[in-house]
Amino acid sequence: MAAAALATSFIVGAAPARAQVTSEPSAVIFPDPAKFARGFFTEGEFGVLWFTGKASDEVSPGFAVGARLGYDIFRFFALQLHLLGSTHQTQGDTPTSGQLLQAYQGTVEGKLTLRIVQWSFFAEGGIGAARMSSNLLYVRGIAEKYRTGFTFGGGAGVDYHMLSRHFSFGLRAQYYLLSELPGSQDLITTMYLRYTF
Amino acid sequence: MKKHNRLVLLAIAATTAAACSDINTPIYFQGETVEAAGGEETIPFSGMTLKFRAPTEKEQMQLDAQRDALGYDQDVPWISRDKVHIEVSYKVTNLSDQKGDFTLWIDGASEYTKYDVQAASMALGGDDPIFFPLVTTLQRELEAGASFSGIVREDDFAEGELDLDALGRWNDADPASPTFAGVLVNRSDVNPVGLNLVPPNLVVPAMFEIDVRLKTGVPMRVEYYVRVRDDDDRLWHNDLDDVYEPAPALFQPAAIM
Repeated sequence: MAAAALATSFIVGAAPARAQVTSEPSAVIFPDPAKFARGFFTEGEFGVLWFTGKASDEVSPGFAVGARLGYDIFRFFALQLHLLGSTHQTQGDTPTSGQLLQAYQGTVEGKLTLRIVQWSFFAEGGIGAARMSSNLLYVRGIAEKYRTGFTFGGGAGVDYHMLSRHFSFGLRAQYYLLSELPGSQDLITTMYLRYTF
Repeated sequence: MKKHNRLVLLAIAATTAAACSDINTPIYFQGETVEAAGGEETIPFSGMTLKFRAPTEKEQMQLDAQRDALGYDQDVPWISRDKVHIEVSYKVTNLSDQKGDFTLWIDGASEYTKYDVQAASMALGGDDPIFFPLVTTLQRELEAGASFSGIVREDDFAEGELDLDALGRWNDADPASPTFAGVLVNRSDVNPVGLNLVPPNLVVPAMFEIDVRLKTGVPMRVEYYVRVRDDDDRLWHNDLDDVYEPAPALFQPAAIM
């Protein structure tokens, strides 16, 4: 009888088990930015290019399409090659009003990024060449050089990384000076989709 | 992963190709501004001669071979309508304090024939001058101080260039279908009068000399630009190339009896 009571008390009256918590657990970051792909990336973009200054009197804003190829050297810094083309119509009370004109720009850019989980904010700047599809602005006295010149400038934007390891998208605005168009600049605003390999 | 890579590369290639394609590379030339006092007997004009490079030996051989293949026993033009496309954009301003009409006339020369509307009018004789311009705009009325911008399009030039070659090389004196002035007062696609002798496979010469005339009733001014699309890079821009120097013959109509 005593033996049975001892056995029963062992089963029924056992002390409850307790976890060994020694500190507050850290909050889980989801998604983990460290798992986002980093390295070579490409971007496709479209938007609007406005000329400002003297050229804006005769050249309307135009649709722009572009692409980038780059490499994230660090989490916060990347180098990228940027190509952009835009198409415009000339305007104003001039003999050449209504003509079509395309602008092509190619630049090498550096990009600084601040990432906050899925969001990142960036600033970038670069230098390269710009070329007009025709000598129209030259014969109008707006362009100093026949068709091709240097360009340099920069801009900023915001990027949102999807839950996918590779894809993100964002908005950016850039302001570039054009050596062939003294007194004129261009403002580029685009939406883009980025894929990091 | 691999599927994504391909799509991304395709997207980049497409956008880059679209951005960089050389689909619109015309060259513009500024013409000399013409001012008309209004009502002149001799219509004021300004002329522009486009410079082209001479064909290389190989290109000349290709032209000769093309001539043999076409079989109509006339030279194939180096400055041809299918390679050189011309357009004129202009702005006419009424300089007076009263409204008035204006018309823009364009004539000039291909490498074979020159047409001068004023000279043709004089050759026709008669008490009242008769003008048959090669290319003309609609007559428009402008208020005092107002301006009008317009374009003489490539297809207008294409028609004028066919007419010019018909007058110069394929002139039909048959009174039932006279080339002069039949081709000048009719669009060839609507009424091909005067084109009986023109071979259907003709390579039409383009104009290399463009004369812009401003016919007005009151003082006006025209500013203009000539736009050239040069498909095969035949415009002269390299000092090492020889300049092509054609010598077109002036078209002279028979005097009206």
